[in-house]
Amino acid sequence: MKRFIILSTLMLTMVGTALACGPMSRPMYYVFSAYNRQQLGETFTPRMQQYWINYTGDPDARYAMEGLKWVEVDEFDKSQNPIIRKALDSGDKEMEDYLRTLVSYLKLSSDLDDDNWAYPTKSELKKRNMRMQYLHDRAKSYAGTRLRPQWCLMAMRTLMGMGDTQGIINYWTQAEGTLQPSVYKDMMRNIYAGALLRMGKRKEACDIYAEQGDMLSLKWIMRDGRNLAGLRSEYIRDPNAPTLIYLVQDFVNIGSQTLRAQFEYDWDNPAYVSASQHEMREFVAFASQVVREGKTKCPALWQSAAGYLTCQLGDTQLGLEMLDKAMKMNGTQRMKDNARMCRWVASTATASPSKKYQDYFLNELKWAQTVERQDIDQYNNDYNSYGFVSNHYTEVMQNLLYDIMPAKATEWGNANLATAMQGWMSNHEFELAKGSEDYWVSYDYKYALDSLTATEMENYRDYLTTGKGATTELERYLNTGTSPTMDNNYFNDRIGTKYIREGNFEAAIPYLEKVPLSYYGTQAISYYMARRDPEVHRWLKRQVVCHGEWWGECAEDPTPVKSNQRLDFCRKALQYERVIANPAGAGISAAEAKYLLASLLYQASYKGDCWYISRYGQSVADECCYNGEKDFVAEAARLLDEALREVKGDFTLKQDILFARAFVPSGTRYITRFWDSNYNMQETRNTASREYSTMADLAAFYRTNSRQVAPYVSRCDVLKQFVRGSYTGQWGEN
Amino acid sequence: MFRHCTIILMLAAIALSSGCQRGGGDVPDACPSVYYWRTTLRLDSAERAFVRTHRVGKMYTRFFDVVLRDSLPMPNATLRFQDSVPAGVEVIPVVFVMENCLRHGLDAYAEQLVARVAQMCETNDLPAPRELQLDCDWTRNSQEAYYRFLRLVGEAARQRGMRLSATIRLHQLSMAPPPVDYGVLMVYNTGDATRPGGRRNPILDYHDVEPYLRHLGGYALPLCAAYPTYDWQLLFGPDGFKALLHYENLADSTLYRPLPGGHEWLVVANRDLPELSDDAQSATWVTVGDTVRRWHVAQSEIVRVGRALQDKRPGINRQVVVYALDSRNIKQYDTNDYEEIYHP
Repeated sequence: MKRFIILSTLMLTMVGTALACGPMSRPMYYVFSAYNRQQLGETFTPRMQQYWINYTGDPDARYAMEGLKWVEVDEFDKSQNPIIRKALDSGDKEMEDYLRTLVSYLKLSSDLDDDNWAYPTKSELKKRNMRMQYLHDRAKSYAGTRLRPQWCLMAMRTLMGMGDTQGIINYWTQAEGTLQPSVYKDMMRNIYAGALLRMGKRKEACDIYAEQGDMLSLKWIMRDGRNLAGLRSEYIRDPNAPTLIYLVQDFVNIGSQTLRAQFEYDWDNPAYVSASQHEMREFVAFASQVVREGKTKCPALWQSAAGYLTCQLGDTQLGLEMLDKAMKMNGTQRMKDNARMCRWVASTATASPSKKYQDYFLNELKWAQTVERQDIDQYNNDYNSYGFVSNHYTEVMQNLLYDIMPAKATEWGNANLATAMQGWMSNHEFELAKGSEDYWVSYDYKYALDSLTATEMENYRDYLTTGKGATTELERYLNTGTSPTMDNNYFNDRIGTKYIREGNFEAAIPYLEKVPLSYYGTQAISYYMARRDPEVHRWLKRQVVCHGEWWGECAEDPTPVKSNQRLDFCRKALQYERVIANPAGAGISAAEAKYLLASLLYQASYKGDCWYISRYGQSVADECCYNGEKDFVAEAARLLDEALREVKGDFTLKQDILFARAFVPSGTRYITRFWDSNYNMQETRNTASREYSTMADLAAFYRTNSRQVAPYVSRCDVLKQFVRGSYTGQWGEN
Repeated sequence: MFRHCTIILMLAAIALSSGCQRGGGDVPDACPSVYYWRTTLRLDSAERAFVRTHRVGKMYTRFFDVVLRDSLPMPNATLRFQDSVPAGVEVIPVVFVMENCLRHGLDAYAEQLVARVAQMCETNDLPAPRELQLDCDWTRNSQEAYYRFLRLVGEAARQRGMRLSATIRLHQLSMAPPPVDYGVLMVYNTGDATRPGGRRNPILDYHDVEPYLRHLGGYALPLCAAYPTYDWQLLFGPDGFKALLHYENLADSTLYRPLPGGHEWLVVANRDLPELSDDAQSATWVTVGDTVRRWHVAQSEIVRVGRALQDKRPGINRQVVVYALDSRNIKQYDTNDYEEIYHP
C-alpha cells in the first residue's frame, strides 16, 4: 500500500500536483568514495538478519532476530518467535541448543544494564559472572562444525561480559585461523578490536575498524588525527594501514567541502583561505610522494586524492591528468571507479558545449549507470532486498544533473539542455524507484518546468517532441529519457497556464481550448476547481473546501470538473479588458470593469481562492513571482486605485472598491514585526503605508455614510478594530 | 584567674558561634572538597596529586541521574567504578534529579534512591556513606514537590545513618531553604552561555552574582560554596549558539584560527566532530565562518566572588568545593591559585 501511495504521488507530480514545492535543498555530496556505501554504518546487522532469513525462509525473520532479546528463558518452548519456532518445529536440536544459550546470554546482558533501580549486590555480581562463565564454557564445549562460528562468537561475547579483555585477545588469537569467513567471525574480530583498544593498542584497533568499515568507531578514535599530520603518522607506521583509506577519503571530502564553503562565504581574508589551502597543497605533494615511493598497494587511492584536490584547488587540467593516471593504477575496483567518478565531476569545471565534451559526458553518464546498478544489485543480492538503495553514484549524478550541469548549460544559452538534464535525472530516479518500498522524490524538474516562461516552454516542447535544437548525441540521449507522461495535453495546459501567469490571456486561449476536461479531472487541482468559483469576490466570501489547505493537509482527491476554469477565466478577463479599453455600449462602466477584473485577478493570484488558475499547487510559503509571472495582487490593487478615481455617483460600486482596496494586501504594510537581539518580538507602525491609507479611506467612507453602508461594511470587525485604533494589520493575508 | 579566663573564652565562643550561625550555621566536617562529575570513576595521576596537594577531604561524586524513561523516573548514566578512591577521602554520593521527574510520581522512589546509593557503595567496596546529596534545578513551580521529595529522602537517609544535603543555585536563594542538613551553593553557570557576543562570563561573573548576595546573610540553612574551575568552548554559527564543544584542540590551525583578543577562534574548515553519546552517529558540525568562544574564569574573579560571599555570609568558605576534579581543569591554575580558591 505504501508503495502504491508513493508511486501515485509521483505520478501526480509528473502530471501536475497540488503541492507547491520548490527544489529540494540538496547538499553537494561527497565525491570521493573509496568505500562501498554499504560498508558504512550498519556493519553487521543486515548480514546477521540475512542468516536468519535464510534459516527460516521468512523475510520477517530480520525482525525476529531483534525479538530474541525479549524471549524469556522459561518460556522458550512456548515462544512464537519465528526463529525459535523454526528450530523447535523442525526438530533442529543443534540450533535449539544454541538458541537457548543465546537467549540466556541476551537476558543476562540486559540484566547487566546498570541503569535499573535495583543495583546489583556483590553476590549477584558474582552469580552473574558465574552464569556468564557457564555460558562461556557451554560455548567452548561445542564440538560440532555447523554452528561453530556462532558458538565462538558467544564465547567472545561472554568474555566481554566478564570484562576479560586479555581473555578476548587470547581466544581470538587461537580461534582466528580455524574459522571460515562469516559475519560471526567479523563480529568476533570487532570485539577483538575493542579489546585491543582497551589494552592501549589504538592503531591496531583502528586498522581493524577501517577494514571492517566501522566508520563510527574509527571516526571517534581518530578524531585528533583527521589531518595531514595524522595521515603522515599513519603512513610512517604502515604504508598500507587500512586506516589510511579512511583518513585519505575523509581528508579529501572535508577539504573539498571547506574550499566550497570558503568560496561561498566569499572570505576577504586571504590568510585563512591560504592556510587551509596550504595544507591541501601539502597533502597533494605528500600523496604524490607516496605514489612515487611505491610502498603502498593502492596508489590509485593516493593518486586520485591528489588529482581531485588539485582540481579543487584550481588546476583542473593537471588534476584531470593525474586522475587519468589514477584510473590505471593498482587498487581495488572501487578505488579505480572512484578515480573515474572524481574525474567526471572535476571535468565539469571546464565543461563546454563542444561535441567532444558532451560525448565524454554522455559516455561517463552511461558508465555511471552501470556502476550504480552494480552497487544497488550487490546490496540487494547481499541482503536479499529489492528496489532502490541509497548509493553514492545516484547522489553524485543528482548533483551533476540537477545542480552543476544545468547551470553550465544555462551559461551556454541552452535552456532546453538545462531543463532536459533535470528531466532525465527525474525520470531516472523514477525508474530506479520502481518496485521500491520507499524513496525520496526530487522536485527539481517540476520546479524547473514551473520556472519556464510560456515561450521557453513552447521551445522546450519542440525540443523534446521534434528534436528541434537538440544537436548533440547527449541531448538526444537525454531527451529520450525524460518523462514519457508529457503529452500534448500536458504541454497545451502548461503553455496556456504560463500565458495566464504572464497576463497574456489571448495567447492562452488557443492552448487551453485544446485541453479536454477529462485531463483536469485527473489532477489534484481539480479538487479545488470543481468546488470553487473565480467570480466570487474574495473579500466578500472565503470559499473553504478543506481546512488545512495552505498547510498541505487536504486529501485533494481528483474530481471531475464541469468547465475549464482557466479557459473561462481568460475569456472573462479579456471581456473586462475590452470594456476598459472601450466602455462605450458595454453596459458597465470602465470603473466597474476594473473592479471586476481586479476581483478575478486576485482570485487567480497565489493569495486567491482560485490559485489553481495560474498555479499547480499552493502553500503558505508561496510568493510572487515565477519567471515572467505578473503580480496579480499588485495588478488588482492598481486596478482598484484607478476604479476609485474613476467611479462617479455609484455609491455601491464605490463602497465595493473601497472595501476591496483595504482588503487586498499590496504595497507597504502598516505593521512590521521583527525579533530583536533578545528574541523579543518588536513592531513598528507606518501610518504612511498603503495598507493604513486604504483602511483610513474605508473608515472615512464609513464615518460619513454609516447609515447607508452595506452590512458587510458596517459589521466588518477589522474595520471596527481600525476605527477603535486596535487594528493589528495583515487583513487579506492568508 | 583560670575561672576568669574560662568565662572570657566561653563568651568569645558564644560570640563566634552566634556569628557563624547567623543564617544557619556551618556545614559539618568542613574541609577542602571537590565535585567528581564523570560517568566512570577513574582518577589519573594529576587528579590524585591534586587531591593530595590540597588535602581534599570530600569528593562529592555523581552516582547517577534520575531521568524520565517511558514516563517513569529511572536511574541513568550510573557511575562505573574502575578505580579506588584516594585514601582519606570521603565519597559523598550525589544524585542529580531532572526536574520533570517531580511531576511523575518521584516520591514513590525516595527509598529506592537511598537504597541504591547505599548498595552502590557496598558493591563497590566504599564505606557506608555518611551523607547523600541531591542536585536539582528546581523552580518556584516545582519547589513544593521537590521539598516533599527531599523530606522523604531525608527520612530514608537518616534510617541508614546518612545526613542529607542539597545543591543550591543562586536563583534558588530567594526561596525558602530546602529541608536538608545543609546546602552547597553552586556559584557557577551564572550567565546565559547561549547568547552570542555576550561580554559577561557565563561561567562566573561577579555582576551576575551580586544581585543574589542580599539573600545570603539571612538564608536559614548552613551553606558552603562551590566554585568553577572548568572552561567552556561555545560554538556559534550564523543563527546563534550551536553547541558546547568538548575540549576541542583549538590550537589545531587546520581547523581554528585565533581572533584578536585571544578568546575567540574562527572556524576555517568544515569538520564533523563525533560526539560521545548513546547515538554513535551524532556529530557536531563546525563549518567555515563559525566562531568558538572560550570562556575561562580568572582565578582573581573566583577569589573576588568568594570574598564577596564571605562578606555577606562569614564562614561560607570554611568549606569550598571545586567543580570539578578533572585533570583538564587542574592545569587551568597553579597550586597557589587553588590554595587561594580554597581559602579566599
